[in-house]
Parts: sequence; structure tokens; C-alpha cells
Amino acid sequence: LWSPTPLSYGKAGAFTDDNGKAIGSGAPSLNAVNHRSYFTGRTTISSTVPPGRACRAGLPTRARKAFGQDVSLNGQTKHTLYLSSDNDFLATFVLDDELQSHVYDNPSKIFVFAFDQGDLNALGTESTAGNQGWKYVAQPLVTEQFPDFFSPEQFPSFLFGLPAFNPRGGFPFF
Amino acid sequence: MIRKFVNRSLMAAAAAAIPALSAYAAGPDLIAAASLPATYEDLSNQTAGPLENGMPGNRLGGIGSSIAYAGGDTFLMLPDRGPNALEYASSIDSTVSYIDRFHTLNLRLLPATPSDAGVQDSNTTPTAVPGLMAPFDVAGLPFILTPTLRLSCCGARRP
Repeated sequence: LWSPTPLSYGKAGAFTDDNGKAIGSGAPSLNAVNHRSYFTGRTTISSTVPPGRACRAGLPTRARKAFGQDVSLNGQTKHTLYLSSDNDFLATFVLDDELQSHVYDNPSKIFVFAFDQGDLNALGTESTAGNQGWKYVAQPLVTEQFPDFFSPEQFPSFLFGLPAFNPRGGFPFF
Repeated sequence: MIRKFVNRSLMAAAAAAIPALSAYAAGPDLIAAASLPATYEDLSNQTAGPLENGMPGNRLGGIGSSIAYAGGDTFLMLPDRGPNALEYASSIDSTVSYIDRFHTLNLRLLPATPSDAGVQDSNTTPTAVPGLMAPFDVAGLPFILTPTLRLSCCGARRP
């Protein structure tokens, strides 16, 4: 979480620590590498959204993931991992600093990450079966287009392979 | 009915993005991001009535509770027990009579092009901290992610 402009934090010298020493404003210094002002631990998430819940300003702490289709990135085939955040249906959240509160939208977020086998190899072999390492194994997806007359009331019988009652009077099931 | 979300979440200046692609280092990369506004409704219009806490019964949200790949660019997303973050009855953990459902979305990935320069996330509102980017500095991501809600389906009311 960063800002390209200097951040407004508390007033320097206005407070003291446990030892009576005046504390600074808390404003983070500009990062020497990319010249951005990163938020520090003195910025908290509070108010309507308890800490740990969805936070648009950072990678969400509650999220789920699924592998997706492969993509070509820089001429290389990469696997994808989709990650979706849980915003708890809340339209906004509040991010406080020491001076004021800021209200932000809280949309559901979706992130897509790309990786390849080399990235999995970098994870090492610990905690894997037989120390064989991590390997991405694509799972073939079998998709079927159900016929138009396929109706929900037939579904249970379909699951158990039993003839189903066709409410329209036709031949039972297919 | 197909509702297409135009809120492509790339704030990419693609002119700067494309050259940056070659600089990608090894390791998992964030290649795209998108958002769905929390005030959007899903396609279960018949459940739009207000819940016990006053929220609409068909608000689109909570989709981080589950996501599953269904082939192509189709994904299934499942909200949890509904909007219970707004407290109205602590004795039941503010659980509301939200009807469980799942959503079918197309999450289409398209390579970013120079024409995408300046594309803004329509969900990004002006903030009191100028220039605050969220959740990452997404400028330069090589793909645009376009979510399209296709179906909101088949819930059952919690007894």
C-alpha cells in the first residue's frame, strides 16, 4: 500500500512513548528505490470492517483460488491461478490514519497469477509425497451439454441411474 | 440476460506496460486484476427484497467464499451465508435469510495493448490520499481481466 505523495501522519512531538520520549510524526520516508511512500504499521484498518476482513487496499486476507486456463506470457506458456476476495457484501471499508478516516469502496476483487513448473520447483520438496516436488497436473474437463428437455426434477434419478418420471408423458428419461 | 461489467480493472498505462513485459522476473506474477462493485446486484431478481439487516437480498458479493474452474473462461463462484457483517442480531451472528446461490462468470483474459493506456478501474473512487493505488500498483500488468456475470442460480433458503 503506497502513495506517490508524502503521507500525512500524526503531529511530531505531540505524543510521547512509555519512556517520555517524544515520538515523531510517523510519516514514512520516501522509499529510496522507487520513490514511493509506503504506509507503515501506524496505519490501521478499523471501523466498519474488523481487521482481517476484506481490504481493498491490500491482498485480501480471505480469498479462494482456482486454476484457470493457460496463457502465453512472453512467449512462454504459463499456468494461471485465479484468486477471488470475499468482501463480506460490504460496500465500503474505512482506513484510518492518525488524523482522519478514509472511506474506500470494497468491491469483490479477482486476481490472476501466472506461474510455471520452475516456480513450483522453487517451492522445494518438503511436505510433498515422497519428496518428489510439486508438479502441475492439468485435469481434463469433461463438459456435457444436457438436452433441452433435461429438467431439474429428473436430476436425482439421473444421478442414480434410475428411470425418471417424465412429467410431459414421454418416454421415461431420455 | 447478460450483464457485462465494463469495469476492467487495469489502470495500466499500456505504453509503459508492454516494454515492461520483458523485465518480468522468474516467479509467480500477478498478470491481471479486476473488481466487481459491492453495490451491484446479481441476476436473482426474485430475491431482491431486503434482508433482515436491510441489505438487498440479491447483492453481488462474498464471492471469495469459493471459486471453481468450469472450462474455457468460465468459473463458478459461491458466496457464503450472505451479508452478515452488518450486525442486527448478535445472538445469531447476524445471519440473515439470504438464499444461497452460485454465480457463473466468464473471466476473460485478454492481452493488454497500447490502446488500453489510461484505462481506469471504474470502481476506483477518488480518495483522500491522492494517487493511492489498490490493491497493487497494477500499471503494467500484461493482461486485462473482464468479468461477466452470466447466471445466478439455484439457491435454497436456509431453514
